[in-house]
Amino acid sequence: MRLAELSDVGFRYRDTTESALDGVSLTIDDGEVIGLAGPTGAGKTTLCMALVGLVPHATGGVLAGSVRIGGRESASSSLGELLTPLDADRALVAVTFQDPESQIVGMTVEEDLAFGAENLGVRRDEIRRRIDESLDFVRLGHLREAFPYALSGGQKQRVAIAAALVMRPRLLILDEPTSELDPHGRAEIFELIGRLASTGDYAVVVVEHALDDLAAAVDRLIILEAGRIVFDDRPDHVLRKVDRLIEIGVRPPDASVLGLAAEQVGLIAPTDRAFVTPDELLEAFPR
Amino acid sequence: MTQSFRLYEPGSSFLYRLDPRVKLIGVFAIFFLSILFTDPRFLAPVFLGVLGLIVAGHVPMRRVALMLRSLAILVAIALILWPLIYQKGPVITTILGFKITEGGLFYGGGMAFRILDMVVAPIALFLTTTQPDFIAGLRRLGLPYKASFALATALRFLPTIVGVGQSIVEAQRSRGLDPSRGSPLRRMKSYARILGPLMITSIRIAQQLVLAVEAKAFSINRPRTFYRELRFDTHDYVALSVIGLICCVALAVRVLGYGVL
Amino acid sequence: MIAGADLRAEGVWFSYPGREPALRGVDVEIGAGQFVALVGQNGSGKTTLAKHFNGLLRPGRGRILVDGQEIAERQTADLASTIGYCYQNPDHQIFATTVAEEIEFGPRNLGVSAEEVVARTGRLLDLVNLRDEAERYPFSLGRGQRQKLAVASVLAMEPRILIVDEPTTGLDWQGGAAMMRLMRELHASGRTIVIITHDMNIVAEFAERAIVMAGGRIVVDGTPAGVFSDDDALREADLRVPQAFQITRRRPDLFDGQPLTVDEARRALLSRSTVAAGDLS
Repeated sequence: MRLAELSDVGFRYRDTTESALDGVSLTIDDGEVIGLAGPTGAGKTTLCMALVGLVPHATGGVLAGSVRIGGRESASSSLGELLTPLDADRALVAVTFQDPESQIVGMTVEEDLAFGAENLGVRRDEIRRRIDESLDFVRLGHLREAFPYALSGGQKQRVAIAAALVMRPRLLILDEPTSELDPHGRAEIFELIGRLASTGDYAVVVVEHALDDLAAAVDRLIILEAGRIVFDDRPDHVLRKVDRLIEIGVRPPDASVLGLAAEQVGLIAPTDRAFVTPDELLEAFPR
Repeated sequence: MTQSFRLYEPGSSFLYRLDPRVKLIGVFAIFFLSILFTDPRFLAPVFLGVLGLIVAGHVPMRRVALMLRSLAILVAIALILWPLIYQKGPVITTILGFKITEGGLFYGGGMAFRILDMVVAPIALFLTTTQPDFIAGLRRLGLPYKASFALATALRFLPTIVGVGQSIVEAQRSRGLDPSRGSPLRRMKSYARILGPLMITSIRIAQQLVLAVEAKAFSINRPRTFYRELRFDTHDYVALSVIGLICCVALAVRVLGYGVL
Repeated sequence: MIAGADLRAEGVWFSYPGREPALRGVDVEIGAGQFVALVGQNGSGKTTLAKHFNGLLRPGRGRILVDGQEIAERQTADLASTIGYCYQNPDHQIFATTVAEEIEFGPRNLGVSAEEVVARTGRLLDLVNLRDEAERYPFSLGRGQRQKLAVASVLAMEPRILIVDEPTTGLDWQGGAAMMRLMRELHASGRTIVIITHDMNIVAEFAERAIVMAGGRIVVDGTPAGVFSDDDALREADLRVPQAFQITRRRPDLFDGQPLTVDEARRALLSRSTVAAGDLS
């Protein structure tokens, strides 16, 4: 199913002169795993919020072009209408945010997980079942009664993801889930993303400003610069454009940079694919 | 670091198993009794009664005592101030030109116990009730959802804001600004400097929170499910009956003229 | 050259109230003018240790010496002109209504003369590239600029030692690079710099010395090259070496050694032919 369709979308926040988004067109279908990267201010968060309808309904501002979420036009629906599930208490889209703390609404982990589903009017026993499953999936079952302030940053992000999963979204958007985390936390999140992707149940959009972990985790990589989409392709195609990525301000994985250099000096055969992980490159070197 | 925000500790006695609505009603009943009487000979038993419940309910007395300790000053003020102001009956003694009367002492004692009654009851409530249950109880007793949501959110973020405040004090000390030093005026100005970053951070959190809440379909036009189920059990009906009985008896006693000085 | 500042911890043990020890017998000495990275996961003790150096925390056992003297009797606020501590979240220390005022506040509070305050503020504004923003409301700036403002206002006390907590977390690549260039400049002018970080790329590119912590102890302490090669220590600290090093260490023959950063590795590869190499940044 076509989950989201943006056509020539432009957006400007209130009281600003620059566009946060400019001529953005893209589609998202069931089951896709998409990475979204770009420097600060490129419009990544704005794009995420447009996919949820928060832009423009919760943020104000001027939206141009067409944003269709689950077949509904964002501009002509209210936020409530946009977020109304199409079927079987399955939310269309759920989102997690960069700041681990301020997205946890509930007094305890369990309360937070229930909140979204409560709003959707899901039956109580169904909510309980989903909470059990989600806690299990993010491996935080032992923290069911915990207070948010007692959790680490990584745990908070996992709680946020679990809360999103309880809404059973068709499209799950993770906005910079690892920026405030340490390497441990980051590894936990990407491990979780890997498992989410392999269920095939969700379309996932992950936003990062670094590519090292992201490029290997997704099937499709979108790079934003100043509100415009510069690349939208497979990671191993996007990562060949090392110089352009550097110019945009997105750091390519070391493996991609070194792979290109190795190609240039004839150490490895010319190819049309970039190297995404160190192992890939090491495999390709002559013995 | 902020362990102290956790008032509730799990337990299994009857106090913990009572429906939060019953406990809330119990607290209101204690408030009612505290205001109904002024005679310490009637108010003290109320206090002792609640303490008895706490002991019987296996609630850790240590924590109760800790919280009551912080009331010590208020209680002392009541015991000292009221007899100086209120005079009735035979004079016991005279201090610095103020007559201390028997009636005054009783009245001061009554006020002191009133304070104790009105504080120990909520303490017993909070020590035996989880936060979500407390909010659910209020809601089921009639508090509108939006109000209970606001209250729950405030409780949720209180430790966060306190943590931010502590961070701010540390950060400023690292720059040579120590709020705990200097004249009282200087100290006030120093603490005022914490307000700026604290407000900004709180507003930031609030802005993010609004987006998160909206993203979770808060404004959707559908009947809302309430996940937390509250159901009365036999022991709840029994407790309610007892509370009701005590209130009726107290009211009758009062109407007959007893319990006031 | 700013002379003789050093930090020393001797047998330091510390526990947060009611918790397991966060520092277990830490001994370390940081000499004047060094650029040190204090590395580890959250909970490793790196921030806890750093907070001991300016007295925000006091050891349960052991001593802390700054500039050769024990600091047990001294208050954090008094140490601000010797050792500056810059918080991870700049928003927690900014309270003035303009950028310039924010920087001025510390020295004015210290009783520094009016002309000196103006001079210092001017220098710092130029240093962090905020001269044009001097009269702006601090919270109207972007995160990276606010971070630099925070550093500038700590520097206004003219400390010889600077501890910066997570200079690049929350910033994008350019923002982080700008921050680290500032750190490098400060180091070049003779200050002792200690950065707390978990970004191994930063360690590879900027640090002279890396002190890796795990479970409240120092597990390895040496040059980045030495530390990156200590697999056991890194495993204990649960840290991964930068991608570039992951590649070069397996094929030193191709890279003429085991360069730590992607720039060095790339140059090594490209020098295998007559094609000239340019820099990544």
